Amino acid sequence: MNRRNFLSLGAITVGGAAAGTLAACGTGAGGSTADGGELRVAQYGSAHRMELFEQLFTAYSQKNPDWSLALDAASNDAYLDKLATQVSGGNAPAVMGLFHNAVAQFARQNALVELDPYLGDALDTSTFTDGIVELGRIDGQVRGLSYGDNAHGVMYDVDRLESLGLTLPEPGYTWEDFLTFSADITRAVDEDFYGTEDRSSQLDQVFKVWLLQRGKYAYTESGELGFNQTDLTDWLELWQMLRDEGAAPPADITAEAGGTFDSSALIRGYAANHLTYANALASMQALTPATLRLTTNPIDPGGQGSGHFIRGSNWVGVYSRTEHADAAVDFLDFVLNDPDGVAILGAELGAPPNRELRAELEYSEPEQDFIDYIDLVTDEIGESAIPLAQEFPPSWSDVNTAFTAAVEDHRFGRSTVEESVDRFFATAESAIQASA
Amino acid sequence: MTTVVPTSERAPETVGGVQGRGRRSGPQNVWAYVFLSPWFVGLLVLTAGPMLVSLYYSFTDFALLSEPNWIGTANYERMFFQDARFWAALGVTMRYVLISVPLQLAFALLVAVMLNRGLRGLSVYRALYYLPSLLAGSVAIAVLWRQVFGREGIVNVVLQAIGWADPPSWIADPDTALYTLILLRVWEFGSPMVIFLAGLRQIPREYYEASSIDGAGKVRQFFRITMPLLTPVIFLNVILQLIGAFQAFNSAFIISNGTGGPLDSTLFYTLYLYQEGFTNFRMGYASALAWVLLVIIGIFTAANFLVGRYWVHYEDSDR
Repeated sequence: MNRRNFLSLGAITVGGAAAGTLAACGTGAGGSTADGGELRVAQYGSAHRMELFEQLFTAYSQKNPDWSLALDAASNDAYLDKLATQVSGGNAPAVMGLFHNAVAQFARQNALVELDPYLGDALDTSTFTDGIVELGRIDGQVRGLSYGDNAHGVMYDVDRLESLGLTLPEPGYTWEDFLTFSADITRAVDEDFYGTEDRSSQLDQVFKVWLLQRGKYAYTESGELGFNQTDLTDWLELWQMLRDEGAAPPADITAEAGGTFDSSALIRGYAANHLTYANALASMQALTPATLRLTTNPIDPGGQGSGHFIRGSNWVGVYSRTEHADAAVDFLDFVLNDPDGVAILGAELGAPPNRELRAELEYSEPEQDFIDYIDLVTDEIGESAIPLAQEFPPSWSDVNTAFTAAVEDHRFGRSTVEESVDRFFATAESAIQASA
Repeated sequence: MTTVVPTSERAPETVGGVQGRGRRSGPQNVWAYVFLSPWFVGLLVLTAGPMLVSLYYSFTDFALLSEPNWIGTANYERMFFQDARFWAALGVTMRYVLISVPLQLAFALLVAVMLNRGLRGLSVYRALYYLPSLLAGSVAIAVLWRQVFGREGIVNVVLQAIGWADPPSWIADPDTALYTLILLRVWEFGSPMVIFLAGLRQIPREYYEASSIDGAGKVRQFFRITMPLLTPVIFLNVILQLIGAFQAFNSAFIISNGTGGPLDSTLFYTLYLYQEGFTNFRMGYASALAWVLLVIIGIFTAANFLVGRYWVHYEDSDR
């Protein structure tokens, strides 16, 4: 850590402590129910997204002249640090955009308002996809809502497929189809290019879907691991086979890809697809001249279902210590249910949850493909979704790290399947115990 | 963590020196302290205060979102007895420090000796060679490094041109990733080089003249005159670079996308500390990690001072 980082860490610590004291004094005297004022809204994401939020603010203020809105923006990397520090200091924005894996964490620390009293009257969710609101129920109370619906999916460079005389795999294609299809692409292209990228180390984005096809969840409701040694062994061997057959790249090529869109194998030009969340389509499309289209993950024909389900994409909660909770909810109702609000946001944060308004909107080409895909998952192949609290138990980050390490160790040939599996379960189980 | 901060800590020494020599009158001292006050306030509020708070946090389960609870030495116990990644990070950092510091100093000394031979346009060369030091800590250079040592990077283009058919990705291979970071560190040889140059300038020419009359060659002169008289400067550089290397963060953070990968091969101690504190929000544990790092750096520095007695020669001392 260099000196500047250390100093800023210090400043955060001291500043946070000082602000905490001030805020503690403030809450005693507070409790005013002002019918106007400034509403702070925190949001992460691109500059384009921030522009849309500014438009939302203008539109909302026109209908509610007593309220002005202020954006508390940060890039994805810095966002949670900043927000958590603000919460620690007692001065976080009233409306807090949250990554899906942070909602339960913030809720467990009582940083989010219980939304149950608002649902129905103040915030109508009757047009939302069945069950989606329940996903945000944490410790008995709804603490977060999703700005948009989302699902797991695979995007392909269909121009590349077309040039090889291939077409986008139809939703419902099997893992066996996937192996043949991917290996064919690798063989057909001369240069270092592979039919599929290797994202087997991604528990949340990829493994989870395959696991659900076996009728299992990554975690049980009580936060224990929901799969066993056999499942992980099969998973590692499946991807070893994909690599051996040339369908997926070797370990060192995979290791060059980063976690961001622009460092993905698809954008860097050495794989035909990207396995991720479907709402990434528009952002990925913006990075390449090739046409990208969505399809499902491969499916296990002998399995217990498609493994796909509707989930929230970008979440939002109301800060538990704000004085403007009512106004914050009213703003969210505008964003989610007012035709003007929904039209401004479009599919930027996922498919609009209000399905009536979703059907009326016009979308850009990749957005329309995304919306169609979400409708497909919602109406045809989707299964019941996993509540956030179960999807992200307190230990999820440590378990994720252990999962990635185990898969990468095996991928690089540093450990056998058995060693990787044993190491993962030992590390993950001790992490779960430590967080209990 | 910030035990030695050369530029700012030099300030009070200077004042002490003035005071000691001249015994100046009171008002001048007052003004000295007035002018120093920004630095003192910074020390207390931005360094000493947070350090004490972090010492307290290291005995708590502080998780940023909630109030800290006292948990005694649990963080330290977990670190030493249960946390495999702590030992992995420590191992990576030790290798980085123990390899990069000697290499960097040897290279800096080599360049300094070459530049000290009365070249025309010395200042231009000095500036040129110093340039990487100004740039190397930056995000831009780390991003560039990622490209240069990537699979299709310029290094591999050259290697392929001279006949290595399929060179690996140096960044993505767990066996070589750390060495690209070490190389980046060595490339930052500018500031020790400038200090070496200053040291070389201090060595009286007469010693060389006298020795060459006695028939000593260049090599013998280097090992019998230059090196012994340069030991105080070498000592200073070792201490500074050791501390700097222990604290290295940016390069690993950028090159591994913040993960310390591949396979934790670039998981610097500071990077692990950052992950624990700011990704997992375990501020209590991160504080404990920071204090252990401080102690480790302290031990290394103290050991250097102890061993230094036997190899550092000060010209004005009896030795």
